[in-house]
Amino acid sequence: MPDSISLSAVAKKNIQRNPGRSFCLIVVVMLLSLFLFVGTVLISSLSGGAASVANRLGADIMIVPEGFDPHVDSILLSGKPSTFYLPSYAFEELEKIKNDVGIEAMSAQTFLATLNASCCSYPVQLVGIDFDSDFIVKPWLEISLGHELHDGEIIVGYHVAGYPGDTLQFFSKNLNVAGRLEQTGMGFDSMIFMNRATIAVLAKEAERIRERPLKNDGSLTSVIMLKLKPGFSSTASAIEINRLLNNKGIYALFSKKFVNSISASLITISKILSFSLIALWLLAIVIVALIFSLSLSERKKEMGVLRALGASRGILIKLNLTEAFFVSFYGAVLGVTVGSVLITVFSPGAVEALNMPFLLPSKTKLILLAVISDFAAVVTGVIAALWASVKASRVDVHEIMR
Amino acid sequence: MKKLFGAVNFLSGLFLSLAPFVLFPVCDTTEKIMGCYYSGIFITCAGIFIALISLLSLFFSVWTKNFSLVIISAAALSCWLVPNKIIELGPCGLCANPAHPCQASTMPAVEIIIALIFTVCIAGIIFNFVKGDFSSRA
Repeated sequence: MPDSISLSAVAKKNIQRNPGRSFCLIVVVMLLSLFLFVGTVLISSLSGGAASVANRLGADIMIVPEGFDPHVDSILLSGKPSTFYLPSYAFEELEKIKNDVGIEAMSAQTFLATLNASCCSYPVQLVGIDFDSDFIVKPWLEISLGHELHDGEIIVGYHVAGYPGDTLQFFSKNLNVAGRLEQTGMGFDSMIFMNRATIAVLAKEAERIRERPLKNDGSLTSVIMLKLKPGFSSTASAIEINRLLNNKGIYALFSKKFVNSISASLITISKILSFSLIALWLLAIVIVALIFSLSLSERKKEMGVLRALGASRGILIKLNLTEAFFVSFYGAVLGVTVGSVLITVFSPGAVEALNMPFLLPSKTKLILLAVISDFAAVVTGVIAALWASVKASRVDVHEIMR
Repeated sequence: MKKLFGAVNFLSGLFLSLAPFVLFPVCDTTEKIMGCYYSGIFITCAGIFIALISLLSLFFSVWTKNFSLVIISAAALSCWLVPNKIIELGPCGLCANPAHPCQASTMPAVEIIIALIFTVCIAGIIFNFVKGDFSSRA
């Protein structure tokens, strides 16, 4: 059979014969697959980000200066630079009540925000880790590095410019980049890690440049991470610490509160997105069905001629469904392509825009999501056209040709 | 219609090439040449490239096919990806200070032009399909 009268050739000619209608149909399917793909990736990325936070916040309780808990949230979430210090007696006070609240391990961290020195540099969060006592950052930091950080060495987050072997300058001190972290979808991506000896040197230099001490009592501890003994509840212990150390400028923050608040926001966003996707899906089915129905009503004579020429009802249905398949396939592929572009363009700024941890799925999962979105959009388009096609195939040849 | 798409892309390409140094200038160069200056050069070159291909599409129908629209949209998108360092290209970048001209005026204008070019290209690709230009045969 020559190509010109094959089913697909006739379907293509039909698409080209009414470009306005075909254009609208493609745009509808394109928007459906676009939102389907982007929406699913968004939900998946937010879930991934929340899981990443839960996995990496290995501390049961964080001890922060009183009134600074929102700062800790923004540091952990988006890496927003901040400099604050606990009173110098914080460690001693915690040692005194260690057994009462079930503290198993304590590790101090030092935060230091760099200066906005010139137009092309911007403040980043420096974090000093006590490698002797650390039980949180060290395990996954060592995966990237393979050994402990030496003095003058740093590990940079995923979004910080700098590669192993490079030298970065902070507070007039040159530091060697020893490694880069994998993407975490949270504040760690914008942070720079070093040992506490190195950050102490930088803090002294910062005091000299700022011409004032960072903290009057000389403390260089920003947060103390606590690990509880088995059987102790982080909520109950945090409340007990706050009661015992009341009015001492110390506040105990249980990590689950932070993770729970993220999870609660995530559930709300997921619900809104899912509802929007279902509404969009229904809308797409109705619009595609309506446009096909109207189009086939206009083409009753054409259907009658085809029936008179010997085309069976099955052929007519196949012809219309092939047309719907081409239109849906083209729209779906375009939608996923545009969606991929939007994800590439906007995902780097997603953490700040959404104020939530955001970790893109792996490339394999992204490709899988793209294929599923394409498939769903094509099936939607074809199913929406099915009813109109069946109806059009029932045309009465005598009535139409009269 | 294809000529209209070509004309819009030609004008957008022109605006894009003029944006970083004439219409919405990037930051002034002092003794230190900043990343936004190099980004400006990149955007200007990309704008000229887009305008050139669009101009060809006004006179030669072969340049109205999907491959040229894909090239134009890729060039337009690179004007966002390169300054924002999503694609790292030499010293290209932007100033960190949001109040600086490159962040406050150049990039917002460039983003609008990119969005326009990208939308026109997508519309062009759909139009080519419904009008029978299947690009695989182009």
